[in-house]
Amino acid sequence: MRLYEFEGKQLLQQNGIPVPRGQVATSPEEAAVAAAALGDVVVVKAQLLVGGRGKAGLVQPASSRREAGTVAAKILESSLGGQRVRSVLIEERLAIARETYVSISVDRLAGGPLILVCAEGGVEIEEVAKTRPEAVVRFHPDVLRGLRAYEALRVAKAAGMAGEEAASFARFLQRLYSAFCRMDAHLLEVNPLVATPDGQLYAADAKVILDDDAAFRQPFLQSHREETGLTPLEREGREKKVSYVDLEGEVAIMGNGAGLVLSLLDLVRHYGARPANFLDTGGGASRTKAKDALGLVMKKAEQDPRVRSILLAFSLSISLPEDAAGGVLDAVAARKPKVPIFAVVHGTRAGVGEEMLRSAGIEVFPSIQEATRAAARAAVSAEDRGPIGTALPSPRS
Amino acid sequence: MSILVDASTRVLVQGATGRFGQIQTKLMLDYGTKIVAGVTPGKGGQEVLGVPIYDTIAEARTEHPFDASVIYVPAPYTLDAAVEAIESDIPLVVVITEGVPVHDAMKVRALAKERGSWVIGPNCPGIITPGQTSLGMYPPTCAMPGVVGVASRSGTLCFEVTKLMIEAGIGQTSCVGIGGDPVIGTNFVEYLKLFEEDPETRAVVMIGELGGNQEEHATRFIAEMTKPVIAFISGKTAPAEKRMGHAGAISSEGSGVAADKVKALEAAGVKMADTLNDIVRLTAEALGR
Repeated sequence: MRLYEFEGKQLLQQNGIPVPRGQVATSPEEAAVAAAALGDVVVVKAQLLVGGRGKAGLVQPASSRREAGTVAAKILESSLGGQRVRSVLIEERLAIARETYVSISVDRLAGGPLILVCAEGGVEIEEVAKTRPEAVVRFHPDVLRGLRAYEALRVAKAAGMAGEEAASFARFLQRLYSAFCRMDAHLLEVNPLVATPDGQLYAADAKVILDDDAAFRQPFLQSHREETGLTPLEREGREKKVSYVDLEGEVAIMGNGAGLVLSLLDLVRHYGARPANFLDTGGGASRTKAKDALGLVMKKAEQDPRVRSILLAFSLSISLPEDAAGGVLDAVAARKPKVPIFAVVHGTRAGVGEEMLRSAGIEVFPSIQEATRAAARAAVSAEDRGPIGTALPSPRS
Repeated sequence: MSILVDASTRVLVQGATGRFGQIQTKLMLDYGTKIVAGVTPGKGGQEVLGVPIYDTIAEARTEHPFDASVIYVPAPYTLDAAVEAIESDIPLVVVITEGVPVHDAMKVRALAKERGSWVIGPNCPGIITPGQTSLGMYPPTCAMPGVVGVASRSGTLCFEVTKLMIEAGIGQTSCVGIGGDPVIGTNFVEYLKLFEEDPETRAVVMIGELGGNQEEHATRFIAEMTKPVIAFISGKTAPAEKRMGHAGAISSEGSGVAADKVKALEAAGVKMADTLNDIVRLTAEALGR
């Protein structure tokens, strides 16, 4: 889960990382009050989950409470990358002696944490890494031992720091690394890390991504399940604990297995139609979960007039046919599907699942390819007959 | 021959007493897997389907030697279970559990490298050597003995591919689901090395997906391989910045894009399949059929 800057900073602060004083505002009036409390010389920062705020002019300085209000009013009316700005962070403006880039992320290939430091703050790190790789210091700490003080110091010196500056950066980096572990973070990016003229270090920006799989031990993730940027059906999928992603196409899809469903999306395209969604029930889904999942797909078919067919694919291993196919029967008994369903069942005791689906009048195919081709054909030939119903705006607009 | 496991592999099941653990233990026993003991803390002294259960691995070991462990414990306890297995120097540890936090997975991986255990998963269906043994939940109907090695990030997709292969009369030496998470115990390239060394494997099928860059990373080794590699990448039509089921199946800020993987693999001389049936056709060609 990606956090807003102000949420990320709150967590960092709780983990001993200094951040600038700041307040969140959702109106120009609140922004002015916040600026007054912070001593008038502030920065007004749009709170968004997409990058590129600075370039889009959504981070602005203000030197009086009145100006803060005016600037906030403008930013609060803006949007970026399809996201509307709903709040701004009003922060004290720091005196800057030096800016540094620091991030700690999960290096998937190496299978461990990766620290990146660049002596120039505020940079696009991917860009610098490409054009001047020598300017970026990389270090893989040992996840079992943690980041040693001398290792952190070595990183600081490699990034061009010296003396007391290097020592205080190293202490900051160690604290940041502890926070990375304690927060179950996928990414902590501080860009820039600001050193003030008196030598104090502050995380002036924070991009934080937490690991959803760690929700069982992270109170923040438990209290912040609502992720912005989700469509209503995606939110419902999250509540029902299935992986659902809205797409724009004619064939609604449900399956049990992420790779399986991913390949169905590609195959639907291969046969000339477009997938309407991604839905993976996950392994070992209960009958109720299977019912909920198909219910979600049927809802998609009802709400989105582009959807012309439903494709179901079960690969049974940890899932039982009584659960997977049983859930389908429950769902079609509860509400009649608006579009035809094309299904395929493979794996352990697949025959049982096939029979159950056929008993509900669902067409079952021997292979994924055949089922997908049939679902795609049904979608495309229906298209030829012209649209039915009234087109709704896409769920994301 | 095969990789990692064969008919002689003696298996410990961690979490055999849970609902899934019991179902899967039964399926493995039915397949012929030599399950010698189970471990569930607090359930020592019980039996599951004739398999004796112990509280700790140390206790199980005094009665029954084993070569591998399969872990079915819930995600919050997976780190503890895997650490116990690795620190007991079990050479092969198969972590089936889905939803393991990435920080735990990093620790498991680091510890395994330090102690010399081979970890498959987490979030995987395990490994099957058809006709001999199965560690995990590979459906028996989806594999048969043969000469093709299969490694896949996705379990269900792997089942489908090998099912199509056996319908075409093509069997497998071993099939392994390497795990769908961002950090897994062992990456593609290390399985490719095992298949390259296995005298009976004549071709390798690699099933990747969007997210990360281990497919690209494997290209250098593939270029040196004597055996043909057939690859398939799913998620070519997936939108960016969206987690597609697997925690690892996400392209982010331009990295992990499926189309880039296809390009990199093609450049390395890998035969790229466009559809599942294509995998079978290209594999048959590679075998000279």
